[in-house]
Amino acid sequence: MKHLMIILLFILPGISSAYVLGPTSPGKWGSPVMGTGATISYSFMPTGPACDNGACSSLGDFMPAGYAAEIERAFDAWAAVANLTFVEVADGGEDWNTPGTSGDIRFGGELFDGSGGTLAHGFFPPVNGNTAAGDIHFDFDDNWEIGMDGSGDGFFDIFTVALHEIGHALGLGHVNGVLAVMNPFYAELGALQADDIAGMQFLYGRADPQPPQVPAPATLLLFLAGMVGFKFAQSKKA
Amino acid sequence: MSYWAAEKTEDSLVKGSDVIVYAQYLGESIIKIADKKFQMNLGILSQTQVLKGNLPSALVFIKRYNPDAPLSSDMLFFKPGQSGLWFLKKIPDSTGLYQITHPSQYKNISNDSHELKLWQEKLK
Repeated sequence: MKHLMIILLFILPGISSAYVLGPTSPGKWGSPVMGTGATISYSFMPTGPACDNGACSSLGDFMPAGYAAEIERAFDAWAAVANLTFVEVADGGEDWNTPGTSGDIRFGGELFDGSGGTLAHGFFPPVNGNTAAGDIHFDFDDNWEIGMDGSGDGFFDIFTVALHEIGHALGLGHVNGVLAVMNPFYAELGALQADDIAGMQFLYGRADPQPPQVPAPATLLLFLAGMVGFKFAQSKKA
Repeated sequence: MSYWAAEKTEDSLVKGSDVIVYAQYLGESIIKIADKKFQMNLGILSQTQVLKGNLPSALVFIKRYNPDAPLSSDMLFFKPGQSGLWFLKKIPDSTGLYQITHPSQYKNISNDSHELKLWQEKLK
């Protein structure tokens, strides 16, 4: 039984870690050391700047009111499980991938392939182009909604797609064979899955990397216990 | 890679493919044409079975991404040595050049798999 437990301890982490990292290097924000946290800025592009496939549009041009709150909710979901801090900044309106852009992750819309097909794409973390790293573009031609009312109605939930694309922008690739937000096909899962969390924690560490602090009274107690033990040992020697 | 609305059905895959081959991905290479400002990054497949369409040689060429372009999640990445079933669409106005734009167009299956046998039966 004991041997079986030891074997399982070695095997189980391997089974649960199917996540795939993106193709860029180091492929994460902040320090290139895996497992270290990062603070990342984001912004919402206005309509007009050049995108990778024509002109970029503001998300407000084709998404329902409240889209920004859904995207913030997606950021919060990732920040709750990994050592990540997201800060919104004003977008300067620069063209996509030009030097000096405002947010690390810039949100915009553009034309992809009509309704259905590709819903959105995310650019992987640095090093990746000039400033393209992290940028997320939603398909202007798809139907967007807030809330999950089941797949297959031709409308796509903004939070679900944002959660997936932010995963790419932070460094995760697609994964097959396990249930994950990072599966390549749209699915209204509602929350990050174990494999998504494992992948993001590999890149940035856990949400709370601080070791638990020993409360002051407990420290004092430990000190006193040590002193008593020391005295006891001395008296036994004598 | 990207976020796609749905997987392609078997029927739409077959209908939408000009050739279907079992092949190994050998790698990619940039082809430049002298005196012309033209270059293209080509992926090279070595096919061992053609299940649909006609191919003049064992090598199949697929269009890959500009190697200088920033990498995004709607790009499909393959590693040399990867073998499987490829559902390829011809690039219009090209000679023998194909493309793969959806993850359903590549199935990572082995040469002796049951799934490949089912596809062989279906495409007889």
